[in-house]
Amino acid sequence: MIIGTVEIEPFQQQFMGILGGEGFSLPVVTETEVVNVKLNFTEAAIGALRQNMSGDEESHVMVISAQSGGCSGYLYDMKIIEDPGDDGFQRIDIGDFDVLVHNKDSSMLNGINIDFKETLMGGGFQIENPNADRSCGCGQSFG
Amino acid sequence: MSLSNPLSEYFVRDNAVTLIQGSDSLNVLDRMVSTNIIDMPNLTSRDALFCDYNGRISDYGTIYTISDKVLLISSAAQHEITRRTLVDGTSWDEDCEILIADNAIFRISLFSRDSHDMFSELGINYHAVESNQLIESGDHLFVKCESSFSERLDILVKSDNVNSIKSLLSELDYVEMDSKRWEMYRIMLGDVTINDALGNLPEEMGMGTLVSNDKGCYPGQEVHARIESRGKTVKNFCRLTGNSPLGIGKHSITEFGSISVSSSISIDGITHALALIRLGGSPTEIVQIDGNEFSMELLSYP
Repeated sequence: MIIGTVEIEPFQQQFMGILGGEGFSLPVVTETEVVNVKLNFTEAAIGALRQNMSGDEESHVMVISAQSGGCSGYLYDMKIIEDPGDDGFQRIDIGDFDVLVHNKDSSMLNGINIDFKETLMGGGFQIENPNADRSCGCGQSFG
Repeated sequence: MSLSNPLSEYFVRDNAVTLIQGSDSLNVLDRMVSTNIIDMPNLTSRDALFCDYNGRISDYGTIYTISDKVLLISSAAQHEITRRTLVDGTSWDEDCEILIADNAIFRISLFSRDSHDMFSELGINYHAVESNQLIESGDHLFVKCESSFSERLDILVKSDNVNSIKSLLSELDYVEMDSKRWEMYRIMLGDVTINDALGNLPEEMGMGTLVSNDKGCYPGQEVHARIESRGKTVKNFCRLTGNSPLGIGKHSITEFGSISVSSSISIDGITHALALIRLGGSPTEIVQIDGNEFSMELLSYP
């Protein structure tokens, strides 16, 4: 028995009926432990950050975060961005400027030591994480 | 019940269904899997492996790109760990929302003696459809899938429409498999589930093609790169067929040391099993397990 011929036209591909309707209103809920974050910066790291801020200390902050990926499961990420405010973040004053850590990353990043190495190979910010069971050879991934 | 002549049958799969939406969805998922998915065109599907930092498989799923959304159908057994990793691994500034869709979408797998008939009965031109390409009809999505020994047609169906699809399939003389018959088919077709794969290396499972060595870092990448450079694995995944029952677990084999059976079913005196075997340097077609003879075929992901 032939029910009918399916012809896919480009305009049909814009509408995916299967993903409509009820049933998708169930976000994945996971418990996140929030701790008061303490970060340790070396003088070299603060100096390098100050240089990267290049006069934007009043309006910008540095955000340190963790995301999936890398050989060991999680990757560090460091960004200098316009100050997003305190909603969901913990603010750490390290002198001339602020560093922010999101609450969801607080347990993973609490107590990390941030250093800066000026070498041509493998230089830059180095993070040592006491919460990590393992880390990647390149130092950017932990788990 | 003949094992070698699949009838027109279908099975409603028991999987975890996760909808990932937002502009960073594919990026977030790509960082977690060993398979390169970042280049997936819209309306396609791709199997992917989730591995731990030791390179061992922690989940196995199929990823569907549907407009700006990503549907992940993965194992029910590992769904909590996989979803937790997805949520924890999404950065605070990424546009990615992870939703449970277990009761919203179901995957129905169709098997038939004749693939052409199976597709044409549902109004799909077999020759016009490529494998892993999503075809939309009404609220359903159809996907042609290839396994080591056969082709099947997967239908993604909204929960509201499951009964109407079942009625349609019944009109077309398709019979719904019970879980025992599905297990038999699955083993016969060498279709790997997480029960077979969990804790094993992709290369051992014959799933090396699901490891993309050119995609950069992902959990387990260092181990996979080392295996690739060594060029061989100690164990191989295989299908066993014999006339004696074979229990799940480890068995001793005189020639090779041991074999680890992960799936096994006996129907009408014939046993089909999936196992990891230490082959050494001498591939063979017959193995003796607990005094009984089994024919052996090495399996690999198509």
